[in-house]
Amino acid sequence: MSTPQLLCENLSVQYFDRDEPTLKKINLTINQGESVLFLGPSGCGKSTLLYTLSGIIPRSIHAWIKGNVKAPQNVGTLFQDPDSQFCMLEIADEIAFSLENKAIPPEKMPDRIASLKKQMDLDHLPDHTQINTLSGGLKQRLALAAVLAMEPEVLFCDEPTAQLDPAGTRQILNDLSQLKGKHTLVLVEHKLDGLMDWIDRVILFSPEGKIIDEGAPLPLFRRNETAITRYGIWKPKLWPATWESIIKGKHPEKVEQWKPLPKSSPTEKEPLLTLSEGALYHRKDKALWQKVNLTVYPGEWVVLLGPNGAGKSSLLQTLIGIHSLSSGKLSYSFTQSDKELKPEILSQHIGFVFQNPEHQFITDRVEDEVAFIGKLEKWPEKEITEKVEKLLYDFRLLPLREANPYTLSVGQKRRLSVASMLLKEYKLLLLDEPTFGQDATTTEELLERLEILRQRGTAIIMATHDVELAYRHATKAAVLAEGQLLFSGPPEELFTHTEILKQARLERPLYLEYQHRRNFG
Amino acid sequence: MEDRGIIGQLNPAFKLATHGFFMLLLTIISDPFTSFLLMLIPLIITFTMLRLPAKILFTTFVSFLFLFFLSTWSLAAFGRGETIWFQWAWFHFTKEGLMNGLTIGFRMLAFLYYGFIFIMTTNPTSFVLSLMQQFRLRPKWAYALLAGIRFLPLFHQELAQIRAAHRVRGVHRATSLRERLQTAFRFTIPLLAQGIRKAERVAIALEARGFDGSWNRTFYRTIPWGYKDVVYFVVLLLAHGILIGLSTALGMIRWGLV
Amino acid sequence: MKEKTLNIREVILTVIIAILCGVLYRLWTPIYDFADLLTGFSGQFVYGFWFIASIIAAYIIRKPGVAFLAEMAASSGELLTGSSYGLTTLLSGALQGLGAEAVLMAVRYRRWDLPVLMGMSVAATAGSFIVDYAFWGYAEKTVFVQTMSIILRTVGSLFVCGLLGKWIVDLVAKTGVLNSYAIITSKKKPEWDKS
Repeated sequence: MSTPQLLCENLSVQYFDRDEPTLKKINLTINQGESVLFLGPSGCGKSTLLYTLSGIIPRSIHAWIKGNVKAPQNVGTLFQDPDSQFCMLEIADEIAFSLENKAIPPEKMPDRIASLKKQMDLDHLPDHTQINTLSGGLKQRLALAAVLAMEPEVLFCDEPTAQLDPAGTRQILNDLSQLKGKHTLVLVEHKLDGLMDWIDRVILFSPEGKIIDEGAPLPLFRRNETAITRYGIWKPKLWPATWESIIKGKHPEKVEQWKPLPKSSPTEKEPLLTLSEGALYHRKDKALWQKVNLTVYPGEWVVLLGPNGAGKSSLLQTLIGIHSLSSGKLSYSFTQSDKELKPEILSQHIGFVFQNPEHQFITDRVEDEVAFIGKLEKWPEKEITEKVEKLLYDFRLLPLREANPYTLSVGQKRRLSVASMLLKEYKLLLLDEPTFGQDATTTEELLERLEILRQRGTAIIMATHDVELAYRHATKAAVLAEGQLLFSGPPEELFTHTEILKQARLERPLYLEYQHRRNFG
Repeated sequence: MEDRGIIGQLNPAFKLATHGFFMLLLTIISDPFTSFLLMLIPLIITFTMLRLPAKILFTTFVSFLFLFFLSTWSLAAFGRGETIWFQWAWFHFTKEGLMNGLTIGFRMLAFLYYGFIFIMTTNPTSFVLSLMQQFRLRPKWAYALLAGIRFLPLFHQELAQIRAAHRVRGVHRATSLRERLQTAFRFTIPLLAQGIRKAERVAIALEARGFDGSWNRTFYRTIPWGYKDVVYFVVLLLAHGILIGLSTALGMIRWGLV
Repeated sequence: MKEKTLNIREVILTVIIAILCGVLYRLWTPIYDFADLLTGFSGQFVYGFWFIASIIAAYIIRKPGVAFLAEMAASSGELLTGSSYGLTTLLSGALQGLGAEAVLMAVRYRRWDLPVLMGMSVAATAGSFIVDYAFWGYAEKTVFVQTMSIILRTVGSLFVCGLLGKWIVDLVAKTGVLNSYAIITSKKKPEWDKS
């Protein structure tokens, strides 16, 4: 029954550009048909282990390896970036590419492609569908189909949902659960909901690249609660409870965490931002969104919800003048005329945190990045230095002050991109999915900082997929979907509109889910 | 790709070679009259055989016309010649210059139309596959090219995002010349960094799917070639022969490089 | 010595650099057209930007053939992405790439400093003039305009191709994304080889 399929003994791996090994003396056995999850803080080497077991190290990525690795020849890997796993333009060609590499006779290919499309629920898409037109979730599904075309004995997945929205994430995790038992599965993944109930074994890594525990998911989580919290790993939402026990009232502290935070309603009467009947057109005939009405007061925290591609980013960018409205009117309390609606002018009052932190980096050092606006505006040297140090300290970037921004970790980059927008106090802060792909610790810290700013009177508008964040922190929720603003008002009210939630593919926040389940069993 | 008639069914690699051949032929014709006549060949093909909507035909015609004037101007206003019409500073309008300019202008038009026919009737995937299957382009390069062009729209978006982000950060407020020059090219850094990472990821993913860049593979799609490709070449050859003959008979033709 | 032929990773990187440069060229073309139209040669100063793909790729990957293939990929990329100019650029791309490659061959792929990169720019400029003289009637321009074109394009290429290319790559190298390519690894030695 349990034949070992993957094996490593005393495995150490060191990258050429590092001074320290990433993995130190790892011993691990994975049996045929097992589903195993590697869990650990970012940078702990779990992906390195996955790459080594799957042969990517040293075939594609060169590194020094010591110790033994035993793995079958025929393995497949699903990667995290839905955009960089393909080399063809159309979906059938892409699946065929795997078959061609295995030198399978062309006459056998059409049947194989059809059956793979069917298996992955892609058969509604014609063979000539352009890959570029697919959503992230569907791209990942196609990538999975292309990997399965190789008939791998072991399927490795390196954070397959990291770049997907909640809907896409559910899709892919569900797909993977269907493969359980058919292939040996090895996963690195942070989103544990939708995973915990079917995975066989979790391997927990320490930040130094050592395995500190392994075993069935729930007991392992119980044994290592403090470590997991300290590492900033996302925990399953309900854990350690179940809906049953929560409704029975066994975990009042859990329910307490889900409640909305106390929110002071804005005191000022004059709105900071007024957008009336705003519309942005793709081309002449195609509206990205239209009839958008939004009023924001100082000290408000507005979340912008909605599925990917609904235009959240373009709406935020319109607010700072990167795009101009195709019709409608936008005005700020600090602008006099439409001529001022340009990023060059608006950015003196409005801060903007872009979805990809790298896009906004313009210097070669962390410190200069934060100091940039101060230097531009010729603030006194002393004031800049003091404020920069304080921010770097607050955002845990002080030891990295000399580093190149690009060399930081994902979490550090995000913190830096926010820190660089806080040197100057803006009236309005726009953030495009700032918590996306961040670990639990970074997210918590970020939200705390923003709450402090909000209380001091800064208005915040934030695009996000996180309904918990929306429910707990926001004073106003706006839902952009199907080309329109479907809702704008208090978050508590939004989540009572089942129809809108469905249209925008939003889930109910846990606290309301709890009430719902309590009331209706 | 939509149906582009008979030319859309030709083998892309042979089509490329055919177009290249007649483009080279045009470069050794050095009088405007013959160049004009020969330019009519790709022009007429474009207007009659590609089944394109009139709007596209018109807009490309206008933009090509602009490039025609541009290349004519470059010789008409700065060309060598005996018969000087007007001279100021280094502007030098001559009869010979204008004639040479027109030759170059029609040549430019012909090149653009050959290019246009090619891109409008050729599916990029088939093109690369046929370069590989007929012209022995190595699979390593062929699939890399296909993987690369997929990224083009993504890179355009990325570039727009980066420039927007830099505007928001206030790079336009740089004052010294040095700062200005630096900020003007600053946006290339995130673009390249991101592109290099994507390249690496694609390479890893393709190798993980068993791609080794060698000829040891089969082809799902075979790009055919046959008598149609020969006919296309022969018809073009005949058309050129007739027009060159006509021009010779009229005593207009001049061979040689301009 | 390491393998001389390009591995898949390097081939894809070469293509991606070429495609990226294609994206930048599109920003560049209107500047060039406008500058050149009025005076007949002032655009020549920025002409060299069109050779930057081979400088960037060769400087990063440092293997024979990269400079030439990067230019080829850049021009076939234009064709593949639907530029009617594509067929024409294919040939000029080849000659520019050959020029750049010739300089590297002359130093036997051992030197990668600024003078060599500038030499590549000048040689690529020479390649581009071959096409301009054969196809676009440069020989029939006035001697003054010809001379100015040659001087400006050559001098300009030193800056907008050689110098700019090196500046950009050096900055990109600092971001760490090139750590596994020759530009970085060629400087690394094992402990026992350090003097």
